[in-house]
Amino acid sequence: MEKNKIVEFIKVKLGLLILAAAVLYSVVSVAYSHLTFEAPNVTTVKIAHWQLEAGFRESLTNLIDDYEKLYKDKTGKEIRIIQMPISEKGYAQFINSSLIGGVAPDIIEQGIATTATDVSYIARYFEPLGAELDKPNPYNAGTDLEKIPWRQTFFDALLSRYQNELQDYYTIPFSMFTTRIFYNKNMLFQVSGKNTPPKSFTELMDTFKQLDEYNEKNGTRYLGIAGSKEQKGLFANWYQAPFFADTIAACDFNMDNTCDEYEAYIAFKKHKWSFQDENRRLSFKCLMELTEHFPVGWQALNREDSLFQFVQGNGLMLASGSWNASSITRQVADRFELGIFDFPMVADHPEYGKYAKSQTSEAGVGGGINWEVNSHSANKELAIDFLKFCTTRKNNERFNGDIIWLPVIQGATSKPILKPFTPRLDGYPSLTFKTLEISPEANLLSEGLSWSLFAGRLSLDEYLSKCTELYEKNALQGYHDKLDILKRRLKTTETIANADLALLMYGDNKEVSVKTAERLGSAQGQSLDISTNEGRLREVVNGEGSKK
Amino acid sequence: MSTQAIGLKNFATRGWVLLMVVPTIAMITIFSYYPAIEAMRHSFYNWDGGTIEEFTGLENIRLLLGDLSLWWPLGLSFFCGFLSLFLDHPSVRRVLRGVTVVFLAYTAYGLYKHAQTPAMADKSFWPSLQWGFPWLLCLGYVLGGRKAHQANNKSVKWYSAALLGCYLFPLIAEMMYLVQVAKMGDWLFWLSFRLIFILVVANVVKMLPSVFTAICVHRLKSEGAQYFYRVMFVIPMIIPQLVGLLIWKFFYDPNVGPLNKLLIITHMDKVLIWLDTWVLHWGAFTEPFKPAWLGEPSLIIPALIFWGFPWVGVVGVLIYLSGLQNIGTEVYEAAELDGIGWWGKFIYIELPLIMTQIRLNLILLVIGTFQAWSFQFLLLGSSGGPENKGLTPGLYMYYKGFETQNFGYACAVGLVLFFIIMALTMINQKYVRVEK
Repeated sequence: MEKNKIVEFIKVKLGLLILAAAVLYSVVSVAYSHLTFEAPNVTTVKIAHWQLEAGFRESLTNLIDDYEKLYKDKTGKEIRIIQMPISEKGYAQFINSSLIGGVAPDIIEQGIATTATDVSYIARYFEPLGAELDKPNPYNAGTDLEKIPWRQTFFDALLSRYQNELQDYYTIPFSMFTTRIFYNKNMLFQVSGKNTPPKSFTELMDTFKQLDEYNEKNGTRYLGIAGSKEQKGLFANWYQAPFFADTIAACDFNMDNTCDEYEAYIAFKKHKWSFQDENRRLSFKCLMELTEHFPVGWQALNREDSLFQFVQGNGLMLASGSWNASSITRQVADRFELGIFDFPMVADHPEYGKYAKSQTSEAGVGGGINWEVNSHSANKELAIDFLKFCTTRKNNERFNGDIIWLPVIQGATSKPILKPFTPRLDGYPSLTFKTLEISPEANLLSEGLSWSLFAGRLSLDEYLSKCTELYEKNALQGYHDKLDILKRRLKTTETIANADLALLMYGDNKEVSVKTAERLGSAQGQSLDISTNEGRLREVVNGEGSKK
Repeated sequence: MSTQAIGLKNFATRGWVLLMVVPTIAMITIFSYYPAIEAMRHSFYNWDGGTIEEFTGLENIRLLLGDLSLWWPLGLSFFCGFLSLFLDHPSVRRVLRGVTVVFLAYTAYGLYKHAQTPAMADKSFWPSLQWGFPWLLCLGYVLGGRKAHQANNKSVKWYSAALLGCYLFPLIAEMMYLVQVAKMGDWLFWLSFRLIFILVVANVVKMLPSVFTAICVHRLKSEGAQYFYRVMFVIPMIIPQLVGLLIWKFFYDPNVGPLNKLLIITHMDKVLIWLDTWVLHWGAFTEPFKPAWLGEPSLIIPALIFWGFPWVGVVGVLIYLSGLQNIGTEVYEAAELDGIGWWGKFIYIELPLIMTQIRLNLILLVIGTFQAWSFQFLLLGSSGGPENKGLTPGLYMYYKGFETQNFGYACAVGLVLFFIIMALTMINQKYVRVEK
């Protein structure tokens, strides 16, 4: 009887019991979390990142544990550093909303989110670190780096991390990354009878041809490249960007070694480049030649899909970075022998070599995993101190050694497996020629069109003429919009003045020119030397600059 | 236990009971209404989501819709006409209909004048579209309204539907004129509705398997079997949607996915290749048969429609089952005595009695489809995939807000979307009648 009562009670109240248990569990979890991490005598520092790769969190936890212990020994106080790993897809939303909402973590990994990357937001939300970087890192005491300013202890003295617009440093890197091609040594030998990877673009294409023949003969379905959206981007860096080196040089009116969207637009109006240029056509042709060896439907595949195909032994090659070296090595260990080689460049190609004259240099490769310190954080001194602790030679070597990445502190050694990732120093500077990015609308539509181009549903001619149409229709509006946003965020910079002047002088729309002139009139009172800029721009755009 | 209403007289003694609803009201206000009101406010601002916040009035709406002088009379006529459908007082209804006709005439005049401007002189696009439909609508509205007024209740429904059609024609005509001919407004926004309209129609059809499944489960004789199926329908609810998404993505994979293999095994590939070669001309089905369902511009919409086959929605089935459980066994017994078969029971007993649930699902479906963005974002990225065919208004709103930091404009997209969804919900409420 009693038993029946209990059963009846559970039957009737089961839902309520589950609900009560869930509420109890939540209350205990929250209370435990508060008592452990946010107790009055414990300082909590939160660190947000999107690195979900195996080993990263563990490597960072090792440093965190050491720092927490050291801090307690030194000060007698408790500190808790909590990692907040967020997936790449949701990272932008999380960072944007938490920064704007004033509840952002103390340390934030730079990237993906506009508020963490755009200079105007950086100025608003993050702490300038120049002053700290000029002082020696106290955790280097007793080493040969003891008296050297913290900034100088990094492999490139953080030159690549300097924010020109803000005249300061805002990020501290932990690692360095380069990209290479991973290949299945067994499959290469099986297909081509060779043990060494291709050295030139022509050889690379020949290898793919041999693979196709092998597939046809044996009824196999091996892929040349385990491709995906991300793979296209990686290959584009090496097989599309080099074609624009000369164009960038010709359009770099302010001679800052880059060609921003404003310069590209003015150059377009000056007929210095067009979408029908041979170098652009060949750059697409070269990339399309490669993507032909990607799997069918690769544009709907993600990074994980391509990695899965490669480690399963279904693909001959996979482009990836040093960040993936250890995980790929581990995953393929019992399946096949792994090789890593540098991207064979197109300089010796009879057609492509005319524009892509040399390989692209990695001399300018900056640090990766860049941390920014939230300027509104109550614990920013602690956050900076933690970053100093992590970037001693010993700790940086340990962190990168654990996860098998390239360290960024001078003298820190890396694992032998990373040798092929040593940055190559010769070649053209690695720059991108941004065109359609000037307008969000044009950018969105061109992305949609590129699916059709790479799926073979649109010819290159059609694609390029559509791009011209999009650019002509939207670029001017995008130019104004971007400039207006920049002006509102950063009151005076040389870029703004130059872009304004260029539009005034070379824009073919009178109405626009009048508006720009009015806008410039209001800027005359500012400290910029507009006349100097104007003179220089005229010289450069008219070709006199290049003579000098 | 007797119930007692709380009024002014007993407020002092009983009013404290109202405190019980304060937490709920506070939560809804803070987390639902406040963000929505803020979004509406920001749609009139140039707002980057941070500190840049400048009042720009209707600028965002103008950028979105084009020349507002061509929109507001149509909007007002729509509003007055719609209001007249819900009012019972004949004289008020007559006045509202008169105002509707005036605004429609003004719309036609505005479009005609716009079409005569020098800028539009060289653009001929079915000139009748520019002003003919609003006049046709006026005529249809006056005649239809009179007939509807005179006819019986059943006819009123059909006349009302005809009137609604009369509205949709000029609305679509005006949209086409403004977007395609006058090249006004943000045509990417309009483009994003392409997929939505297709998915709304497809999703309405995709409701049917859930209805039939619910009826099958309801008609099971054994209560144990019914319970078993109900549990089986609840279990999938605890599986995260992302898992379903990944499974379907794998299903569509052109290289290793089972769909292409299944089509090859069943020789459907030959049929599809033949269809593509001689009828469709998509160029998507060729030898060797490896269609990229999520990578081909022509296959993306069919793939999204086919997604979730056999379309038995878990929540839908449970909602319909709850409605069907209210039908007493005596109703079925009476039907059987009258010699009604299984189809007759469905048409005359079950379907009318679950119309409340169907209407609820329809409203949720329309709202859900119009608001959809995360699914497309995860699958195709923020550009909406091949030729932007997966672009939805919600995804466009995300793109404008989070990728270009133009939050004010994104709020304006949300505001327009809100009015569209509200209008569709009202239409649904008015025309999907529940007659028991």
